[in-house]
Amino acid sequence: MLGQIAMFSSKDFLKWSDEVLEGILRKSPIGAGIDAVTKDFFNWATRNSVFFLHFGVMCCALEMAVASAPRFDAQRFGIIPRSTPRQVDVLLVNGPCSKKMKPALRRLYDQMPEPKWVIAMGECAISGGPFWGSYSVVPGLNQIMPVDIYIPGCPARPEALIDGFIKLQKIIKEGKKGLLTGR
Amino acid sequence: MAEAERDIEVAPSRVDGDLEEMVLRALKDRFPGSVSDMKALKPRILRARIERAQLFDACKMLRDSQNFEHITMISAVEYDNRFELVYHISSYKSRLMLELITTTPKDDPRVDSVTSIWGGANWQEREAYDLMGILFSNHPKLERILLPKDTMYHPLRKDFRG
Repeated sequence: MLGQIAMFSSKDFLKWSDEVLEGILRKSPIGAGIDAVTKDFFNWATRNSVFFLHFGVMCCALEMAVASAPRFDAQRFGIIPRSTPRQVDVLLVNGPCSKKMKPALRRLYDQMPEPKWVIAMGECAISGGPFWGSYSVVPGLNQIMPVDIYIPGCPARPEALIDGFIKLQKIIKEGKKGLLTGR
Repeated sequence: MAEAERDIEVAPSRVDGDLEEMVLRALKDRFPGSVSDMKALKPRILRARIERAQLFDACKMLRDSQNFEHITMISAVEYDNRFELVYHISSYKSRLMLELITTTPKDDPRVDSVTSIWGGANWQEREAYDLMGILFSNHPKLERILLPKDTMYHPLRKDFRG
């Protein structure tokens, strides 16, 4: 009877277990059931711990910094800066994107894991701002990547930044998706 | 507050050890025909014009014998019929700044690079090349520095339409 058990090499075993687990979790009713139970909780956790990339471009970066400081205190909403794009939910762009920086910024966006959002902070990120007709500034961040929240201001006040994050929390709450099945 | 500009050629100083005078006289003695328009703009700021063929030798002499250790800024200016390159060179030891101006014709904006004399000139010259199109001979790496590498134009020229 023991001989009936197929002998796997470790690579095959991993592939087999991946397929089995994916079948159970993602495609079958068990996965949908787990999702239905945990969807609300995970969504609550996601929207109350929105981490943004610690990436400062120009003047609005100082407003981003002071929003984490004691006076405006973004941390009470769970908004904490992280240093690597692999660990963040939100790419917060707070300055003009120059043509030389464009591929680097796009690469940062591609390195973020799903689910991810983009916030354009300040006039320069929204449309190029005062540098709109310049020879070296991309006129708006939505030329490069899909943007979810636009925060106007030059520079945007820290309260406006926190308000933008709260609006992002509303968006996350409305677009509630189960983590396993994606539906 | 601001002293009037003194034209050094016309009014020689009675003080032999005056440092600014010594620098300018050394420059003029070494390159007799090429130096012109020497002035003292403010108490410790001097200006001289030089031909572009003598520029490299003059900078080498300034660094070696006159203690001008620091290249502060290299700017390019465009006029109707010429380009001018302005080199601001500073001496920590003598506490002077010399403004050295060369002129190039409009259709041949080419100068010798002073990167081998002062390493700090490397990126300054790259910026002048990137934005104004001034070509520097013998530059170790004359590439664009502020704009993407495949940009076709030089934005700060007068004939550039954005």
